[in-house]
This record gives sequence, structure tokens and C-alpha cells, in this order.
Amino acid sequence: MEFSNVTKVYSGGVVALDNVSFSVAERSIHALLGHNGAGKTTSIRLILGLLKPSSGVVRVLGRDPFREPEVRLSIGYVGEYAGLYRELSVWENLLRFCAFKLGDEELCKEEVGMVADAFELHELLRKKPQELSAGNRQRVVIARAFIGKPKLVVLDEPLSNLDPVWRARVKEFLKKYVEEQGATVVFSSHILSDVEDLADDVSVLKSGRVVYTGGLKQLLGEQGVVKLVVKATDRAKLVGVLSKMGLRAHLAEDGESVAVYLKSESEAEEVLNAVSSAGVGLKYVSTERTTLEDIYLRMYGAKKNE
Amino acid sequence: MQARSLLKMIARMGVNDAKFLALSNKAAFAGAVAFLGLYPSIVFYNMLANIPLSQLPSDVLLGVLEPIILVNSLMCSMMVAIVVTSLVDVEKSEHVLEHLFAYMPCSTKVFLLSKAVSTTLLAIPMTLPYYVGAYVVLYRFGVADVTLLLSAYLPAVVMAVSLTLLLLLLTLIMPQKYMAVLRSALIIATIVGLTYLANLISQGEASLSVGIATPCIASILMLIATTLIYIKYSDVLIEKAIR
Repeated sequence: MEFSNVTKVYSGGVVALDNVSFSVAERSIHALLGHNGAGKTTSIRLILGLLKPSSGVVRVLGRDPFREPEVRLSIGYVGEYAGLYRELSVWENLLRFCAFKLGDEELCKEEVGMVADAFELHELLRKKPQELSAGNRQRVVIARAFIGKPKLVVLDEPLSNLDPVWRARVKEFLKKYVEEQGATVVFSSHILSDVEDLADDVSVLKSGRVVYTGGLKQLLGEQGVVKLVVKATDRAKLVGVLSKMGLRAHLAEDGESVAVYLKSESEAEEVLNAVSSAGVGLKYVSTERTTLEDIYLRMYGAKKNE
Repeated sequence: MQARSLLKMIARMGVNDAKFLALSNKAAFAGAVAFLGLYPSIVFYNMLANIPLSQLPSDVLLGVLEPIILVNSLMCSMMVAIVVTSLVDVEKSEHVLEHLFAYMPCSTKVFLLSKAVSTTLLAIPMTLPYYVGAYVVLYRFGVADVTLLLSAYLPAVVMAVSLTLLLLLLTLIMPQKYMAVLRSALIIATIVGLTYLANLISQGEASLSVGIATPCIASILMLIATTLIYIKYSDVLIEKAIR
């Protein structure tokens, strides 16, 4: 799947995507990250061929999804909203969507049976969507995406309503699905720990532009794997020493300490030695592994509580 | 898209929508069928009661019956269009429409066209009671003519396709409450307008040619207008709806 210089301007002049380029490797799990309004959902709708790019090229499984919508037969989709018929039971809902997609009712009964097994839906099949908890409804919606064994599965915030047990199981299912079916998964999520658990690659969108695209491990490595937090008696002096060493200081979450991102524990030790040698009084020191959340928030220039 | 794929799409859509209507709201479905069958038949019988049918030669009799059947057919088709597009309104408000778009292996534009055509095909079973009733009446007066019923049905089909498409396009951009008001207004206008026209014809106050021409011209004008809107604005409207 590939976006090449894709721009999407909605009628009214709103620029949702601005010259966006990224690609998703086959048989991988790719996460789309970004704040609300960053362009994630627009990207997903372009992948599905629901929207036409204003300029640039979107290729999905080697085809243009807007001009060749038949490619949707190979795509599974979990949207932002459940999108289930209130009047129909879960079974009828799944059958109706399958019938729309595949046409063959007998095949659909088999397919729905299979996804019901995979997501343990049998007890829910006779119920109507509004009788289900948000988590169970989300399981149904995720199961629907796997009808017809799609080659590409696109999920918009798939794990948000699930309990921890089902979150873990869905993540496991997605990994196994990619491995066994040779499929590709693209998903967006605000839960960055899930992204860390699941994604091979990430694309970070900010105000309709890609600020990073590539491997997750690479991103964590590039941005520093160790976060050193130092609270000093004289913060200005500390920042001065750090900048002399070529390090960029960030304000830590407590609003007083300073955080720097480093490649290794030994580099952290070197920095601390240099700071002590410069006569900076230290009140508090801690090192921790850099999380995707730290990196993401740095990219957005935001604090954790924002 | 090839014509064959489009036809397959229309058939798939029609079958699924019929099933959905029957499954999701049995009472409303039965009510709609009963209404479509009974109301025009009642109007039809009322009109016939005012005409000394048995004294008329068969060609004059046909001339009287044809516009009445035509007008009633149009009413049936409009009702079906209104009922089925109200289903799309529900699909839109429950965010199902977006998923249907994403699951259908055709463009959203083709999806809407297929929906409009399949809706019209749905009109056949839904308006069957009316046509059976009309045929029985014609048979009683010895002028049973399937061609007559078909010739009445064709303008009704044109009207149903264009009206459905127009309502679908409007459904994409208009809030549900406004669509409900619009549908109610259409139902009232349809019943009042067409009943009035049919009465004028049956009482001889409007000429037969005017009686036939008015709904036919209206159907064709609506078809042209809707086609133009569909070609020119459907992409923008779809984008607005999806966004």
C-alpha cells in the first residue's frame, strides 16, 4: 500500500492531508498516529477508496481504490463507529454485510461462523447490537472486518472499547492473522502502548503532514532509548551544560525537571558525570526506557497531561 | 464498470434491502405493502363508482381507466421510493452507510444508482396487491389488459428511479429530521395531488391526454433533473456525507 504525494482538500478548502507520502510493507502491521484532525481517518477513507485524493496517488494492493473499487473485496474495515443495524441481530448484521461483500449466502454462513468462532461471538449472535456492552459490540465489529479473509485490514481505533483481556487477544489475533494469512494490517490508535505492542512500522501525522514514517524500533532507536530525568538546584546551568554537550533538553512532566533522550545507559552515566563535574547540584535523577508516548509527545511538542 | 457487474450489484442490493425491510421492521413492511395495495385500490374503486362503466364502449372504457391506473401506479412508486430512502436515512444516522460503502465492491456513485434501481425493483412486489386488484377490476368489466398495466407501470418506474436517486442524494447531506419532514410533505403532496388529478380525469374535467401527459412529463423532467444532479454533484455530496 502506498501514498505518493497525496493531498486531500475538502470542499470548503480544509486541507486534511498535505503532500503525504508513506508506504506500508506487505505482511506487516502499520500504525497511523496523530492527534484528532491530523488526517488519520482521511487516510483510511482514501485507502478504502471512499474519497478521491485531490492530488497524488494512492495504491492499495497494486490498485487505485477509488477507480478500482473491486479492490474492496480484499479489504476488511473497522470504522470509528460500530455501524451495525439496531433492528437486526448480530448474526443478521454479519450476514447482511457479508452478503453485500461476497454475494453468496452459503459462503457467508460459513464465513460468519468462522469469525464467530475466532471472536467467541456465539452467545451474542441472537442479540441486537444495543443489547451488547460496548466491548462486545466492538468484538462484533472487529469480527466483521475479517469476513472473507481480507488481504488488507484497516482498523480505525479498534481496541478502544475492549477490556484488557480482549485487547490482548485481539492484538494476538492480528499478529497471527498477518503471519498465517500473509495479510497486512493498517490501524490507527491513541493507545500508544498498544501501538508499541503491535506495530512493525508507524506513520506519525501532524496537521495533515507526515512527520515520521518507518520502523517502530528504528524510531525508538533514533529518538533515544533511554530517558534521563534530572532535577537540579540551578536548572538554567543544567540546560547550559547539556546544550554544550549537544543534547536537547526537554521540560519533564513535573514542570521542573529536565529530560534528555539518550542512546544508552552508559551515555546517561557520561552525561551525569559531566553535569556533576560542571558543579550542577542534583536533587533528583532517574533513568527510564523511552516509550513511544514520550517520542510522540515530543513530536507534538506537548506534555504528557495535554 | 461492466453492465453485468452493475446488474449483479442491483440484484444483490434489491434482495438484501427487501430482506432487511422484512426482517428489521415487519410491522412497517406489512403496513407499507397493505397501504400501497389498499389505498390506490380504494381510490380506484371510488372513481369507478362515478363512471357508468357498463354503458361505455370498451375503447372509451380503456381511455378512462388508463390514466387512473397510471396515476395510481405513480403514487405507488413514489411511496416505495419514500419508504426505501427512509431506510437509507436510518443507515446514515447509525453510521451503517459508511460501512456499506466500504464493503461494496463498487464506487459509491454506482452504489447510489444501484440502490435507486433496486428500490424500483422492490416496488414490484410491494405494489403487487395494487396491480392484482386493478387487473381484477379490469377483468370484471371485460377489458383485462396486461399491456395496459405495463404501460402504466413504465412511467411509474421512471418516476421511482429518479425520485429515489434524488431522495438518496438529499439524504446524504440533509439531517434526518429535515428528511423526515420532506418525506412527510412528499407523501401528503403525492396523495393529494394525484388523487385530485385522478378525480379530474374520472369526472371528465381534465382531458385524458392532460391526465396522461402531466405525470409522464413530470416523471421525465424529474429524471432529467436528477440525472444532471447525479452527474454533476454526486461526488461532492458523497464526499460531504462520508466526511
